[in-house]
Amino acid sequence: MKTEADDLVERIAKGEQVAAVDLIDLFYERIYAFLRRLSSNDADAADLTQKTFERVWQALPSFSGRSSVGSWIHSIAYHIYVDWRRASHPGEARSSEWWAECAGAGPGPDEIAARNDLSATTYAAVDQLPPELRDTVHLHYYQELTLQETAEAMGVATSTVKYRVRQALTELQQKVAPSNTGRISQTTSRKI
Amino acid sequence: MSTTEIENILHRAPQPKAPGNLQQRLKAQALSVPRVSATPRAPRPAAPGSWLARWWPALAPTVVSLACAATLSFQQKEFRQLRTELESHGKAQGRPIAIAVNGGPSGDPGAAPASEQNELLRLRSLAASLSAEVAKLEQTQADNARLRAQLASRSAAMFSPEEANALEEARDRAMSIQCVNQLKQLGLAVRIWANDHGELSPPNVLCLSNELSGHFDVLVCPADAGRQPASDPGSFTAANCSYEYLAPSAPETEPQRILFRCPIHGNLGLVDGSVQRAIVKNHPDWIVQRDGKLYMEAPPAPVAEPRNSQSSGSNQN
Repeated sequence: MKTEADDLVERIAKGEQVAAVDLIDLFYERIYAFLRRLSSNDADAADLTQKTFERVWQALPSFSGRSSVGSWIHSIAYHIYVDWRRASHPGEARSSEWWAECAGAGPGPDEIAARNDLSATTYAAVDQLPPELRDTVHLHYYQELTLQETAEAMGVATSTVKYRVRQALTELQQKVAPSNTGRISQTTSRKI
Repeated sequence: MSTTEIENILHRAPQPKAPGNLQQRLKAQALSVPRVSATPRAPRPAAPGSWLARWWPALAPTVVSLACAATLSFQQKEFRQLRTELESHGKAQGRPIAIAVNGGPSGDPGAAPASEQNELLRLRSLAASLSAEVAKLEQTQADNARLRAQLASRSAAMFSPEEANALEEARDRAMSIQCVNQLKQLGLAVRIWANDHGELSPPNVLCLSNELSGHFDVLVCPADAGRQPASDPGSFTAANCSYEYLAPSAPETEPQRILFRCPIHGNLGLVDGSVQRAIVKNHPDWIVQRDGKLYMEAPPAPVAEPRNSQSSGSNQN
């Protein structure tokens, strides 16, 4: 079944520059959000997004259509992030305050205060997971890719993604237990 | 906290807002990259031999099967050709054979080779000579039967009853003497065997095969018409011996012990090698049994009449 993204890729291959603009409109916010969550820096996230689309334009002629366009662009973004992390940011921790700021831009402070204390703790706990589990959570839950698309983006088997998701949920369940909630928040706050 | 709740939280993760100028930068970048306006992708040229690399797993068995089928069909064709040639050769050679079997000139005699004709003539002459010999043999057999019948009728008519009885007694005496001689040969064989085996007689008669040098006819009394001598030691049985062997493994220290006994003539062969003639018939009381062993013990002869014992009919040989 041909999607809108597939149609845009075909039009780009035919030389329609408008299609390229439409493809940017379709994906850039998701890619930026994905890279922003991982990189914890607005400027780095913007640069990584720009690099991602630059790589997209370069690799578009070799796109064979075996995977969806969304998972393909996420795969490029993921590998660009991995390269960037290996090059300049080997060990990086994100604060729960940033998650609170992100959430604060959503529905409203009162609602967030009422329901998202646990959510912020959970998001912070996600960032404390091992890299492969954390990236899997980001792609599968935050970016809402399917298991197969997540596997294609990360270049691993679908069964591996299933195992990592299950492992991540188990670790999150242990870390976000009511008795640990305060300790995690304090720990992450001290790191910042 | 359940995993479902965690998953719900993760699905509700907030989306960070992209900077306002990011979209403009990306679009400018997209429009500046020459690859975006490039011509549509040309289909990737197939590498030479790529179809072969893709289809060889299917093509290889097919090619092998076709090669096998071609080989089989070729072999079948050759078989048929050879069979046809063999049949034609068989027909060509079967004609003179049929002529020879039938014996008549129904076929073409000129078709057979000259060597076969010569062989046929030779076989015919050989068959004629064999037939003549068979006829002569049958005639000879008939003549023998006729002469044998004439001889039997003539001998019956030639002798009187007294003469016939005397002739019969002489024949019996001759046979008894022959039996004595055989017992002496057996005694000598036993002595020879004992010399080689600790002065003991053999445990059975078959052990004397070497000493008898294969002459098993000495084990059959000439008057015993119901037995035949053994041809070799392997075929020797009790039916091939007329004499009773009474002293197996007997020591040489008992010279009067009975070694052989002829049940027909009553002759006795003793351990010392001597033979006593007709003792069983004329002097059965001379045979004494002690400890399951048989001895011949003649009564002491009177001093005044030393020759009477010999005239009584028992002769020591």
